[in-house]
Amino acid sequence: MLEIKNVSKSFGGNIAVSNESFVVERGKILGLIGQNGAGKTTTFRMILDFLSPDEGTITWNGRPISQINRDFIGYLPEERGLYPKMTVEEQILFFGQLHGMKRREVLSKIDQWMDRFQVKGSRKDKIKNLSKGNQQKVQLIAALIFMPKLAILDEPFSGLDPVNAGLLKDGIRFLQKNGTAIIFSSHDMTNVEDLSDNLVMLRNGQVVLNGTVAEVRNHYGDTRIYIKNDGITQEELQKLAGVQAVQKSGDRFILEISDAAEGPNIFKAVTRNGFIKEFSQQPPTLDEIFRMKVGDQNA
Amino acid sequence: MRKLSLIANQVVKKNLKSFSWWMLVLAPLLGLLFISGISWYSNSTNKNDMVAVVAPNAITTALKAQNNNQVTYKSYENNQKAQTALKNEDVDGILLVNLKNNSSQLLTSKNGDNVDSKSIQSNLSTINTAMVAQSLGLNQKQLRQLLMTPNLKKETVAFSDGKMKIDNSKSDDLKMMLAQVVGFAMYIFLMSYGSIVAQEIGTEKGSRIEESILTAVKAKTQFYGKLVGMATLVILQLLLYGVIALGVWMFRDRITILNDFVKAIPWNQFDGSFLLIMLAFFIIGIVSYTILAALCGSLVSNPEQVGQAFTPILLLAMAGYVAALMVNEGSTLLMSILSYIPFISPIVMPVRYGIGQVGTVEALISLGINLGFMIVFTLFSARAYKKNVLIYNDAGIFKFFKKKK
Repeated sequence: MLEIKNVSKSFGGNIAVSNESFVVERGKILGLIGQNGAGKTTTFRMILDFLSPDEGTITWNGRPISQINRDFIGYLPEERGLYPKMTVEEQILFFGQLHGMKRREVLSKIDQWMDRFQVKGSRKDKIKNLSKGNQQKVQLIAALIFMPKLAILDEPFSGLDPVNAGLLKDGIRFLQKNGTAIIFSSHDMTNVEDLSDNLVMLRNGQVVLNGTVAEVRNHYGDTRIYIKNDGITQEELQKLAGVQAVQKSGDRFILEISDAAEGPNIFKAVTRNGFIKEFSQQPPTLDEIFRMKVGDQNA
Repeated sequence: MRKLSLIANQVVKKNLKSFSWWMLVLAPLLGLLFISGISWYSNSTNKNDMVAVVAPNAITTALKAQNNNQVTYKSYENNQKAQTALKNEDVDGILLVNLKNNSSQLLTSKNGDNVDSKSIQSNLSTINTAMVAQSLGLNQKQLRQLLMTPNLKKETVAFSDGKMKIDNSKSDDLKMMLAQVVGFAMYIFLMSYGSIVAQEIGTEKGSRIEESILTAVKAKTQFYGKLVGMATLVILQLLLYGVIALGVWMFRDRITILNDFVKAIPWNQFDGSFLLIMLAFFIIGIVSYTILAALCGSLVSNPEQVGQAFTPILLLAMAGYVAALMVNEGSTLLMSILSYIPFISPIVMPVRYGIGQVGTVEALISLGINLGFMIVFTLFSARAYKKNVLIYNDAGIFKFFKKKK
């Protein structure tokens, strides 16, 4: 288990991370979200011991991470980098062996991982001859082939199309099933919501949200109602009691209500003429919560 | 240890596949091959000049007696027959000797080969001296005495404890040449290996692959791994030269050109200590420059800054090379100081030792200083590398140095 406890880090007068605490357990996925410069990469770098915290402790299974061999960690940095003149096989072999795998073991698993991420190209192809997306997949394989106990993925979805993002999600879930503790950052809240067991949101280096996705969302109550009803207008919805705002998104309306308890009254009002296609009362999406947290410094 | 050998192995493999390393290894051999080729070609095309002589019998006989590699004399009855021979290219020139006014004329064809007039002049002088001696009634002994060249023995002396001692083993042209070649080779090798390391580390850091590597390996392990890799490459290079030298030696009897090449080297003038000291400076120099290059490479923030990172290495190596070229000017205080300064002394000291400006003791002291410095510098650089290798500073290398102060 990875435990970050009351960790702070400053660069000169700038506070990068302040009193940060969270845990990532074996077989769990933690999504780390926050605006650019919120402290996500600094957090990753402290876990990897590239940076030392000014205060607080970072431990793996109770032992300070700076004092142990860290080759059980698979890391995908935000800025991608590979040896362009190496072949796919040489690249993966080098990193696999650095992380303690036997040469034979790596060689026997390369095809399997290339299939998992559907890398287009042969293992004998030079990295520079692959497309950017495929290079990214090779780097991911190099970071994960040794089945890390802890995987740190900094913006793993950036630059991937929806099909490849789906493959990456499957790969992450595969690691999770094998007991890997996974921590990843992303600006795409759909991916975060889809994958994460827990999420932590950083704002100006401070943890402002910490919990399961359900806990975080439920904390805001079921204050969103999705309605699909051709027989009602935006103005009529706006006039209903408890409705704070109405947005039209395609052929549905999204209502923001002040109190979740108003839900049944609104349901009665919009169904007074009988059947409607959709009525769904939910907590705000992660995307909305993210925007709220970023926008409201006191939220 | 396993990770260190993995890093070292990767450095070796990567360079063995690179064009630049093979160019570095093969360039001196190609240079040697080129020089040998030119020398062989000029020797093989250097033909004997055939000269037609139109002169009294005594002169012709005396000239024929002096036939040698450069010139062969052939007598002709008259000028006309000689001209026909020149026209038919049977001879390369015509030598007309007139005893009456003690003058001679050498005629060569406009379209023919050049004739070595110096050899002919020398042969004619010898004959003239013999004829004058004869007319003066000198006997053979007197003639030998007249022609004897006074012996001038040149010796180099050194002063030790106020006493002058003759130094017999030094100031050979061969050693000077060898030392200059070593100075140049050191400059080229130091720069090349420095460039390889700075490029490698700079590119790794600049492309951020360093972060992935350092997840699994400690920075110091990576640093030492790279040094071991580079040292392996140097050893491989020297081994390769050794194998080639052995091959040349073994096949010298079967291949004429190799035999000529081996014979052309004055083996008796080499002494073991000179070669050993040069080799020691060579290895220490390369290792020191490799460490410096690794340190400089770790300061870059992006691959474009690698050139900037290489500047200190270039300047130091150039200073050493320029100093090595100035060794001939004599033993000055500046030269004495440079002979003990790390980074510069590995280029300067072998040259000074080669021409006998300094003795073995001084060379060993300089080696000791370099070795001691190399150890301290390695430890310092490993620590600095650990600090620098993940710090990205967009301001550039020189500002980084400034900031570190």
